[in-house]
Amino acid sequence: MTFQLTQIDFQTILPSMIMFGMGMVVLLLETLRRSGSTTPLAVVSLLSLAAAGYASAVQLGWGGQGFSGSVIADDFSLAFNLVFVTATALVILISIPYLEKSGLKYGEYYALLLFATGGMMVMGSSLDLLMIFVGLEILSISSYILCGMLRADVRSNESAMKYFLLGAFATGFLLYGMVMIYGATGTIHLRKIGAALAQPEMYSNPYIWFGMGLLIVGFGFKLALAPFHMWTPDVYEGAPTAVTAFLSVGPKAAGFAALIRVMIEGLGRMHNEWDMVFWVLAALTMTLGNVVAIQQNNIKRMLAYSSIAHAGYILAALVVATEEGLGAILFYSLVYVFMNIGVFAILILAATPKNERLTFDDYKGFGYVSPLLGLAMFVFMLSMMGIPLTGGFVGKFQIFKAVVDQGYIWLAIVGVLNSVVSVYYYLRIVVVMYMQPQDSKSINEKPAFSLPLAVAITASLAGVVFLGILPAGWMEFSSHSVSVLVASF
Amino acid sequence: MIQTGVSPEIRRGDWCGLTRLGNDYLKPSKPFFKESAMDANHIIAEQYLPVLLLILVAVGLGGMFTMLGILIGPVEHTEVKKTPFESGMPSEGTGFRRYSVRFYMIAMIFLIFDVEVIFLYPWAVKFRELGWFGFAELSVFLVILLLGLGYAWKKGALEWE
Repeated sequence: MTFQLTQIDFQTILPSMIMFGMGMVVLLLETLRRSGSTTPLAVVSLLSLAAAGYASAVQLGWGGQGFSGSVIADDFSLAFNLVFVTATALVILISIPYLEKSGLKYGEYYALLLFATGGMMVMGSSLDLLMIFVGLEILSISSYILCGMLRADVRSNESAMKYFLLGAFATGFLLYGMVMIYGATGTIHLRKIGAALAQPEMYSNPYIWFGMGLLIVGFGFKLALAPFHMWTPDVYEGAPTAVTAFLSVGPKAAGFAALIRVMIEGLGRMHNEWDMVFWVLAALTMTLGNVVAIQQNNIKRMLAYSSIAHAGYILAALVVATEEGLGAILFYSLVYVFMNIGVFAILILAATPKNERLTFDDYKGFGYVSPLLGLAMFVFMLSMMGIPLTGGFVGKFQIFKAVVDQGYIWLAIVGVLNSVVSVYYYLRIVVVMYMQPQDSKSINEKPAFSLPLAVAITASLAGVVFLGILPAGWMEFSSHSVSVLVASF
Repeated sequence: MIQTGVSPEIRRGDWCGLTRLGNDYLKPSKPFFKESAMDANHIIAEQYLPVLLLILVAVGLGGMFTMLGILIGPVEHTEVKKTPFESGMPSEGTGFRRYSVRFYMIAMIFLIFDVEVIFLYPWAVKFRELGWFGFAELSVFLVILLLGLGYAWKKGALEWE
């Protein structure tokens, strides 16, 4: 028996290999760092992200498979790689001042972010249940540690512990689902599962049903869909703010990438069976996220529920499972990266070492103290609501259009009604910023200028506005990217 | 397909031969059933029969001896017998003490190198077959582990005081 690995095998995982390799380099550099700031490590991380992004961009249109077909570098995975790289780069930019403000002098932070990004890339590019699992574990374990980075803070510890316990629990569900699907079809390769489901007698096999259900529950936990979302607010609130920004965009996009692969390439033939499950989950998720977000006084918690609601919108696009809908998922993932990280960047900029400035009251009169930041926040909130001329509008429009086109009228109605509900709490911060007088507790002086944050906010703002005004390029690219998926129906 | 000692359909076939053809039973006769996917599953399930028997015997024997001890043995409770350990030091304090984090670090490093050895053994067994490819793969693996050791060392995980 001989094993042969060719160059192609390694080319298919090149972006994630760059991430893992550079993550280890950052770890080594951390041991060599005598004192001073961790900013050089952040620069190294940004450069390696650029390299991984470049490697992904060069491979566009290739579609090579490696490691006996368990990894594929098609446009779908590469496009998601670009989303992951953008998200992590923005998170690193907002982390530099955050780590300084909170006195976290751990270079491992950046290494873990790189490892997590590598894990997300593995998830997006795997054609194999086992590879999805490996990628998910790399991502999850890095995230657990990142949540507990504020070691002296009880809330951060609570966050890490809750995330770890519930994440491990969810992983169990996912693994059981994978095992059952393997038991029913005899393969873990997604496209072979798709082929095996062509036999009608497969549908009388209970294991395929159990497997599908458990997979949905497992992914539901990871993506914080409605009945499985309980961990989200506590984890997001306790985690360091920059990590919360990362958790709400990166792992979600990766989870959706993997979910699309499994549901379209693997279980696509059962679309008529699973679409109603996701219909209910999507409606429940967006309703719960939006309704509970109204009551929050802590902005981080509000954003946690808002991220649940956005996961619901994105899930609505998966229900239709058309090229249009799946393209909308990719489109919305990038928009969500920009608008969410933009808001977190402003929160980090406004924070002081003594007071994290996370309640609505802290922002009374903020729009007059710092007009530019107020304006930026306003634009991000408009995008979150889905007001025209922002990326959020285009993304939501695409999703609901795809949903209506396939005849899921009621899902679209639920979604639009939810968008209306969300206006209340997104506008609330704008009202607080511009229409309430300052008091002694609110931010009274302009936050100090910080170059990385300025870059992050400008880039996010540019992204949100650009995708709102000239969405055609990324829109076409995303629907092209999902067209390479081998749907099995 | 996986072969077992006697597959059920051959047994059935021979039995039919005996009854129907009298002396001519050595001649292979037509089996009752064509082998189907169901039979393959049965054969695989049959292979697990010894495991099941072993579990039954283990549980049965253990249960039987415990029951015999309870039923036949004399029962006498003394103060000494009620302590968790009959010999050695009397236990002190609660079991919920906080341990130094160093124990966990040592355990973690031990775990890493334990796993490393697990990978090294099969490689050593198949060393010639795997050739340079195996050597390169294991080298990458070992270099990554060495980096981990270097990191742990530099971070002071190996220092007890």
